[in-house]
Amino acid sequence: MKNRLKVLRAERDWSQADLAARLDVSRQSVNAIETGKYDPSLPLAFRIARLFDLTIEAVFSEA
Amino acid sequence: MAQSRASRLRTYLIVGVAGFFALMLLPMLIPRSPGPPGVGRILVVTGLVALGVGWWAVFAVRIYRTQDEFWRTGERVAWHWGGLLGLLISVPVFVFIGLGGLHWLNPATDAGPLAARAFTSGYMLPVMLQAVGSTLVGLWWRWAKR
Repeated sequence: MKNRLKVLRAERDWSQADLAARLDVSRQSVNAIETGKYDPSLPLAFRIARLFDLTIEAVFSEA
Repeated sequence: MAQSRASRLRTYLIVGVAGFFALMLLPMLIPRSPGPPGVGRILVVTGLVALGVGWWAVFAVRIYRTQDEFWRTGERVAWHWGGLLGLLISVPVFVFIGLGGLHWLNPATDAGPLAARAFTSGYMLPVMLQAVGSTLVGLWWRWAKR
């Protein structure tokens, strides 16, 4: 699955650690999601989308 | 928030491991009499070991629940595939030792039939219990998610 997490994070000038703290996950989780090595669960995907005030489809898309 | 999760994980790990080893090592402080252990010692030591394992189980659950989903997934993958790999590797090793491979490697190693039976039992116990545990949890999961 592809995602725009890195771009969205960069737009807000957040580090991976900042985003991780806002999502209450580890920095490694953010890195793994950004690099496409880990697909988040639906609840975490919703949390991510809500944090950026977007829909899930606007953040994640099929590879 | 992520920091507090990390610090909770560290605390659970330290307390869990320290308590586990303390309970496991406690039997060493009980005076031993020469000869095979009596019923009292067997029960006390077994009880302390069970307590140590229970202690670790409580903290293992706390650690698992405190981890985020990425680490939980990693742990499940490690236990499933790592455990399976280790189990598969152990089979030829078990057969090799069971057939007297150690004696072939070093003729001074002559275990005898009693030790061979003890080795077989010692090998089979965790393997069988792991298979039973895995089957029961698998059945419970399918039942709970039906």
